[in-house]
Amino acid sequence: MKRLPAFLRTTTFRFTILAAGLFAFSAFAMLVFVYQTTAGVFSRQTDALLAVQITEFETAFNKGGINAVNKIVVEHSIEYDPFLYVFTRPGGKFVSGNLSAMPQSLAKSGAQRHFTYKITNTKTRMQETHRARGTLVKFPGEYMLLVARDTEEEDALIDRISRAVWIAAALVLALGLVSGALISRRFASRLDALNSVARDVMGGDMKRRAPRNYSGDELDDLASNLNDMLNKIEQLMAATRHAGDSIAHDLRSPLTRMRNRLEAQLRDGESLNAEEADAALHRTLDDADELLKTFNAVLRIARLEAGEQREAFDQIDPAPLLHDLQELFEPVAEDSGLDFEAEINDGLIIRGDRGLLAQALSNVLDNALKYTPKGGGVVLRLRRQRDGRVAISVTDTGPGVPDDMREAIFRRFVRLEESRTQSGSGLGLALVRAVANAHGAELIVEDGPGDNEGSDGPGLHIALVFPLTRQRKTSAANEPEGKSAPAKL
Amino acid sequence: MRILIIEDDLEAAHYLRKGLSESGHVADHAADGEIGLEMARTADYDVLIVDRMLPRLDGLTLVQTLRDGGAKTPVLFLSALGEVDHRIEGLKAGGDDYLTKPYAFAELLARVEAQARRQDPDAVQTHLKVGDLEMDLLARTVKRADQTILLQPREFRLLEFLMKHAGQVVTRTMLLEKVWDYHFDPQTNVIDVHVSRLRSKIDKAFDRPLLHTVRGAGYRLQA
Repeated sequence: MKRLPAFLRTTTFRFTILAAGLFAFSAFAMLVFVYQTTAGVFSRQTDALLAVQITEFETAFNKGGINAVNKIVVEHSIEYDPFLYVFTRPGGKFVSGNLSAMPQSLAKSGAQRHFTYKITNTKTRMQETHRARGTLVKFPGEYMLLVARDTEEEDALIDRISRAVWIAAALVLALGLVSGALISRRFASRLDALNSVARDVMGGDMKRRAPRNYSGDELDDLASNLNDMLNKIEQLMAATRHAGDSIAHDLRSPLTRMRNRLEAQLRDGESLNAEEADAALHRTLDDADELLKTFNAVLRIARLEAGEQREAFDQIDPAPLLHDLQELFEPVAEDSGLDFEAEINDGLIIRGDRGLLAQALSNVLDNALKYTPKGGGVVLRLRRQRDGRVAISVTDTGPGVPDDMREAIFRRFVRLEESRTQSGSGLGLALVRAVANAHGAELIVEDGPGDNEGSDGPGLHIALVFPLTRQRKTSAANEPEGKSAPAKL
Repeated sequence: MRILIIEDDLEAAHYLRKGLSESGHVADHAADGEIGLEMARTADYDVLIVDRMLPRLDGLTLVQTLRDGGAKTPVLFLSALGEVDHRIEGLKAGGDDYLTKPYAFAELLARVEAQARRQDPDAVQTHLKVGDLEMDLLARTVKRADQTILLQPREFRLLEFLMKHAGQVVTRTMLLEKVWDYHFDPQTNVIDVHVSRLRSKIDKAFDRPLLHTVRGAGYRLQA
C-alpha cells in the first residue's frame, strides 16, 4: 500500500480540511443569504410596481376601452423611464410604446416574464442588449400590452454578487487546503523532530534533546517536558552509575583486603601461631561486617528513595526521640571532650517515622561529634520556626563544609578530602537526605556559629525542617524563637 | 537446644546448621513451609528459625498457623525484607525476633540463644545474680561484693538486660533494640561507649572482670 506523504496523514491536516470545508460552506450559506436579500428584494419590488400599473391599465380599459389604454401607454412611455411598454393590436402590429416591437421570445410563449431587448445608449450611442422583466396583459380583441421594466442594472449587480459568491467559496476552499497542508506539514515536521529525538535516545544517545522554539505553544511545551524528562532520566542514570561505581569501589577494597588476608593465612597457615591466626580471622570478620553495613545502608537508601514507606507515617512528637538521642550520644561527646547540649521543646507534632528519624539524626550527630575537634560544642535542637514549621537541627563548631560541597556531601559515597582518613562509609548523610525526602522535609545546611575562639572553622548547622501538619498542637511553651539563627555557643 | 531451621536456600541452611551444631545445639532443617509446619507441630523445638519467603507456605502464614494452634515456641524470622513495616508484620504474625539478611552468624546465634532464655515469660524475676554482682529489680539497686553501685536509669536497664542474658553473647544491635528500642545500625561506637561506662562502674574496682567483649560479636556478662 502506498503511503500518503507524512503531513497528509497528520491529525492536523484532517482537522484543517474539515475546518476549511466548514468555513467554505458557511461562507457560501452567508452569500446565498445576501443574494436572497438583495436580488430578491429587487425582483419583488419590480413585480409590485408592475402589478400596480397593470391594475391601472385594466381600470382604464374597463372605463374607456382600448383608447384609454393607449393614452396611458403613450403618457407612461414618455414619463416612466425604466419602464418599457409595447401595445399591439390584433396581428401584432405596433400601436404605441417605447419599445419598437414585442420581443420575439415573449410573443411566442406569451407568459414569459424575462426577456432581452436592444437599446441605444444615449451617451455612448452604442447599441446594448439589456435584460428586462415584464408581464404580458391580453385585452379583448387580441390587443396585447407588455408592461416591463429594464432590470439590466440590477441583474448586472446580482451577477456580480453571485460571481463573488462562487469565487469566494472557491478561494476559501483553496486557501483552506493550502494553509491546512502548510500548517500540518510544519506540525508534522516538528513532531518528527520530537519523534527522532525519542528514537535517538532509545538508540542510546542520551545527550539528544528536543529542539525548542520557546513560543510556549503545546508542542514547545511537549518538547520542554520531554527534555526535562530526559534530563531527569540522565540524572538518575548517572546517579545509579555513580552509586554502582562507588559501591564497586567501596566494596572492592575491603573485599581485596579480606581476600589477601585469607590467602596469606592459607599460605603460611602452619607457621602462624594460634594467636596470630585468630587475630587474622578477626580482622577478616571485621572487614566482612563493614561490608554488610555498607550493603545495608545502600539498600536502605535505595528503598527510601523508591518511596515505599511514606503512607505508613504517623503524627509523632519528636521530643522523646530527641531525648533518647541526647542520652545516647552524651557519653560519646563527653569521651571526645566535646560540650553537648540539647534544646528540646515538647509538644510539637510532625508526620514521620521514629525509627527513620532516629537513624538519620544519629548519623548527623555522629558526623558532628566525629569532626568537631576537642573542646568544641554540639547543639541538638527541636523547635518551631517563626513560619510555624518544626525544625530539628544539629549545630557544631567543627571545620564546617565549604559552600560548593554542601550539595555533594549528601550524595552517596561522597566524602570530603579531609575526612578520608576518618572511618565511615560515605553513606551517612545520603541516608539523611533520603529520610528527609521521605518526610517531605527541607534539608538545610549552613555555616555554624562561626569562627569562635579556639574553633577550627565556621562550624556546621544541619537542619531538617518538616512541612506543616494539618492538626497542629500549639501551646505557649512552643512560641517561635526566631529563625534558625546560628547557635550561640 | 533443639532448633528447627525452615529455609529453602539449602546452602544457607547447611551453613546455619553447621554453625549451630558447632555451638552445641541440635538443628533440624525443613526446605519448605509445609514440611516445616509439620515438623514444628510434631517435634518439640526450643527455637524456630523461619525464612519469610518459602515455597508452598510462606513464613508469616506458617507462624500464624502455629500460633493459632497454641504453640508458644519462640520464632526468629530471617528475611531479606528488612524495612520497618516488614519487621512489624513479622512480629504481628507471632514472631519473637526479626533478623534481616545478610546477617552475621554471631548476631543470629546471640539472638537464638536469647530467645531460648525467654521460655518462661510468666516467671517474674525480682533478683538477678551473676557471680558476686547482684541486682534487685524492685528496689532498683545494684551491688557487687556487697558494695552498692550507683547507676543511671539507662545503665540500670543495660545491666539488667546483660544479667538476664548472662553467659550469652549480646550484640550491639540487640542492645540498641532491647535497651533503647531503636532498630538501626549505629554508625559509630555509641553502644560501646555506654557499655564501657557501665564496665567502669561494675568492673573497675574489682579484680575479676564480669563484662567481656566478644570480638566480632558483642558483649557477654559472665562470672
